[in-house]
Amino acid sequence: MSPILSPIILYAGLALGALGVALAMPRRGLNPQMIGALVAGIAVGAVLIALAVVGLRAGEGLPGAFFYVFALIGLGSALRVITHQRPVYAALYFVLTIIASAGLFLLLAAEFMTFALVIIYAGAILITYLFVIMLATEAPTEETLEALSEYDAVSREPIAATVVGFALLGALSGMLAFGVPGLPGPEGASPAQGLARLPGKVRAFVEGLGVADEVAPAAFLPDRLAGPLTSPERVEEYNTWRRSHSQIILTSAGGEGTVGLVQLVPLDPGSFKARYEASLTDPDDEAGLPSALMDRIAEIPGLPAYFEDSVTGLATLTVALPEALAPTNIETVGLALVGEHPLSLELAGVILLLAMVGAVVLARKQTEVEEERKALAAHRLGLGVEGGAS
Amino acid sequence: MSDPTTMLLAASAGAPDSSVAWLLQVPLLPLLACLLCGLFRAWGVTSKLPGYTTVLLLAVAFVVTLSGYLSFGGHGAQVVHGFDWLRVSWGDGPGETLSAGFSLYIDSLTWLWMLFVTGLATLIALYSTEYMAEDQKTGGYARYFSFFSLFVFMMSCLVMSDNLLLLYLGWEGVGLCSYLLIGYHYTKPSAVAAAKKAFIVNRVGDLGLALGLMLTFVHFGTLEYREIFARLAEIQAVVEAGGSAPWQVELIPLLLMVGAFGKSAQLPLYVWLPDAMEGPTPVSALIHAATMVTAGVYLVARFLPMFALSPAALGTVAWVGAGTALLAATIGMAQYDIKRVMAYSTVSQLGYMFLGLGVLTATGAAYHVFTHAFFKATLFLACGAVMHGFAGQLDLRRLSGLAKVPGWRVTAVAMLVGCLCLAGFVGTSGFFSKDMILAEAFVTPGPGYRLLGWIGLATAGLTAYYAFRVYFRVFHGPVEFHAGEEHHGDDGHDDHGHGFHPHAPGWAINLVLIALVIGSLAAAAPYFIDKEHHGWVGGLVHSSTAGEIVRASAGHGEAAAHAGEAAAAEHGGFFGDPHRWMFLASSVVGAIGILLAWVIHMTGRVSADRAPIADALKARLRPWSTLAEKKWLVDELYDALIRRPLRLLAHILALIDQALVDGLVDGVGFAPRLFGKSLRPSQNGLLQNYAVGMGGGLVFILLVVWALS
Amino acid sequence: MTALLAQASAFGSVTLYHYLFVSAALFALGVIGFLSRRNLIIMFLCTELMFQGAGLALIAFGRHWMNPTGQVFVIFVLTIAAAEAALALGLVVYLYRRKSTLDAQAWAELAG
Repeated sequence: MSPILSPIILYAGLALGALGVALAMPRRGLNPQMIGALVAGIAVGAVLIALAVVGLRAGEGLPGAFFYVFALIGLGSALRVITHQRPVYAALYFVLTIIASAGLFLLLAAEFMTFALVIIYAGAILITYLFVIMLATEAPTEETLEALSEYDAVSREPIAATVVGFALLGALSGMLAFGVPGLPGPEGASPAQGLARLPGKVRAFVEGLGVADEVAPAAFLPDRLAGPLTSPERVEEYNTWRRSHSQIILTSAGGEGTVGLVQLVPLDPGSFKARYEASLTDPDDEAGLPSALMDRIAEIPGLPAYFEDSVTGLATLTVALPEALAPTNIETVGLALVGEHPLSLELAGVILLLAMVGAVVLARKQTEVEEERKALAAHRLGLGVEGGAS
Repeated sequence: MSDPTTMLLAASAGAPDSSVAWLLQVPLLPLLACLLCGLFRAWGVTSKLPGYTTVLLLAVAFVVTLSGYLSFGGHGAQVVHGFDWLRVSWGDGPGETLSAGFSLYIDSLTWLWMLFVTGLATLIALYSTEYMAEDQKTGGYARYFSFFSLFVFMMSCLVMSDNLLLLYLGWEGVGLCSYLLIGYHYTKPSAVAAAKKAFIVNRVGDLGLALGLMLTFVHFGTLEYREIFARLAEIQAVVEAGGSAPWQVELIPLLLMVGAFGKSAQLPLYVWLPDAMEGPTPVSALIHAATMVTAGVYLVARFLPMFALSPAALGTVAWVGAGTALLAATIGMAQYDIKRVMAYSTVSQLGYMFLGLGVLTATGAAYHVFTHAFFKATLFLACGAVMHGFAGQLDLRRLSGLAKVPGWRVTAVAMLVGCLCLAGFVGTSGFFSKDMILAEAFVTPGPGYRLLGWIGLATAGLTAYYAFRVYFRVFHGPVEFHAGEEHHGDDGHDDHGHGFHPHAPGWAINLVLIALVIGSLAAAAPYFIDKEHHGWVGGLVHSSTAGEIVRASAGHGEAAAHAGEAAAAEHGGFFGDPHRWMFLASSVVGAIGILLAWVIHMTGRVSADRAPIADALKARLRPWSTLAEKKWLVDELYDALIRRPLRLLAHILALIDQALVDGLVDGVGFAPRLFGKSLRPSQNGLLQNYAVGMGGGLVFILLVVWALS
Repeated sequence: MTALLAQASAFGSVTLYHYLFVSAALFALGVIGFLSRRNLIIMFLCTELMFQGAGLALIAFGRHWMNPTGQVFVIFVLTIAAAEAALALGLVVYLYRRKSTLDAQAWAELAG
């Protein structure tokens, strides 16, 4: 794998970034935070521009403009989070970081996560942080309105921390840029597979096509249902019979077919086609598919239909599904979450419950202890007074 | 009388005889006594039960030994198999199986030793029941008898074992019991020091024995006597045919000899024995005079066939024996502590025994062991009676004329008889046994053996002098005594001196003393029983392995000695028969010694510590008298030559240990601590610091992944 | 919407790498802030920044591979962030009441 980025540019950028971050860290005396932030911004920008140039060379224009915007906002506000001397501002900058990364999530087609992030992080967690910051800060007086706590104003060994952090970043980005062979990814998955797990969706579509109606074996229609459907009762009765005799069961490719099935065959990545197989065999009758029905199906207009294996009466109908039928992000995530990781979901719930219980205990205990101590002290005091008196 | 040779060989080849398994009682009864006394101690028995139990069981052991001896007649060898104690095999070939059974090898040498060991142990245990009575309440009484019985068990193992490993067990076991009993008064620092000294000095000797044992196994592939003796007979045949013995066979006796020197207190390892007198006197009598210290003599006698093949070892044994005899006698002359005099006399007499072995008269050595066991036990127990009665007083300058004190007649007679035997007075048991050794020293060819004879003769004179020095000073002369430092709580006496009433020995002590006096005198009788082999003991030795090889060995031993006698007889005259010559010579020398003691220590003596001639002589002979009194500074010499260099070495090693080893070890601990100390600031509790580590680690992992991919 | 769908796997000239770079930069800024700021609340805000970076990367990857799991992950991240915010801010208030300061250094005594 050839390097996608010149190592000189990358490491020079990282070194510059490290310098900038180190300068930006809060310290006593001369505090060139702005210069540091500028230097760091230039460095990150240089690296990102270098990456964009790579994209340009590939001749694909600059379609990822939003990416660069969000990335710069996110990284810049992250720098402010770690360098701002006032915790409240740091928390607010963190909100900005979150919103920026939510934008990146959106670019990555993770719409659900985008909104979850904004709601949970920015909406819930960060508010908690702000509350705690306010709880755990000395109430300002007239004189100390602008005073900063020592531990906020001065960072601890900023250079060492920067070196460690950028060493980590260097290792990570070096691995990214110059490639790590021998780490194969998982098999590619297509939206068709996700769709195969949404039978209702496909069924609705297929039924919407009217195929089921057409395919419905009218030949097996009982005598009492023959004839024109004159009354609503008859229509209802007819529909009930039709549903019970025209099952569409969707399974993923290669699944065991039953009475009828829709196979979604990924013909090409961008489009879907469903193969609709309907067994028109009456479960009670082994006589096979009547030729009359065959003819009837063949006359269905507008459908690229074909029937084969007339002996067993297995009819296969390949239907092209529209792209719009592809599962949405929420559907995919939901399926993955509930279908593939049910145990983890349960565990996450348990953890949340425990955290809640823990928070409650933590909150209760300290007050109780203090009250008990006060009661005890009062008791002792009383005893001492009594002892002194007697 | 059947030919002992064939009997011995037949027995050697025969399988263990299970019909005589009851002989196992001999070692096991003392063991039972030991366990029972241990239980009594645990149960807190404060009566004399442990003592009487021990006496009873030891007496039964003696009776068993005696009946065993009478029913087997003391000829040939028998093996009584108890159980397989140890059997390690790492192959099928010869010498690849180490087996040692708890088995008894019974021949006449064993009988001789076991008879006096069990007999004397019984008598001395009886004596101890009274002697140790003061310790009944503290529980030391049961402990004492437990150790005492254990000693007899270990001694039985040593003497009766049929293999070297069981002998080694007994050897170490008696050493342990000796240690325990010397340190019986474990609150007394001098006793503890003496116990440690005995144990440590014995380690030197035991190292030699252990090496000899290993070399024996390596060379012979077995530790069992029967097989070793069978192999020795082959080697001897080779030597007789003009060949030479393998170097191992010449080396093993030297190693065994080192062990024997340690256990039997010979130069240069004798220093522990005088100090061992810190133990209770009965212990001194049994272990450190009569039995344990003769274990070395037993070992050499048992392996005399092997020694006979190693002229170097034999010569060393003879010279060391004579040297020890002379040195110990000179020290004994100048000591004031009567128990210490007896201790040095023991060392000296043991020297005689080794001299006897060295000049290949196992008979003489064994007979001297036998007689010495009786008269030295008598002497010690008499000393013990004095010590017991005079609150631990042992200084002959503070005791005088005891024979005239009522109740001490038996003790005085026992002392007299013991001294006579020790001095080798005509007709006493010591006279015959000592003469046998001295006479053989004069006639046996060997490196300077004739000189050894003269040394022995001179030592006999010194022996007579110091024995009677003690007797005359303590039991005769003006009546005067001072109590020792051990007060008897129940006597209620204040300080020593006026008002002190010695308590005369009771029935148990007197009974034992009388028995031992009779035994000491009667020990002369065996000399006349079996005239063919120089007495009964000679007969026993003759039919044992020792006599076997000695007789067969050409160029050495009594056979040659007899040849020499015959040659000497041809010259005719009085000096023809060395034994007759020696009877006269030693009588005269002994008499001179006794006379000198009389003159020096009796004439003109007015008080316990003033004998004009002795004091004058002492002043005249300075500095030699002082040196002898200070034991020729041997202890100081050892201190300077061995202990101080060792201590210096230990200090140096300790320094090395502290500086180098500890430094290394501390360094091992220090490095991580330094590392941790340098890392500690990173753990300052600041959240961000940890986060820096996390971030750095993440970067590192990313870079590694990147570099690897 | 339709136009977006038409870009199904290609982002036009803005490739996956652009998004990943931005997400990495957000994450790194969060790290820097977390390491250097001393105010406990700002430190938590910085962790939220890091969440944003991670979430952006997840969604970009999901889009790239046409896999909704990426978005599902972000839902969980949001959930955890909400839980964390509730607890952590509760703790911050508690700590502030104890020491009347929001300085992280004031709690260095918790060093192990």
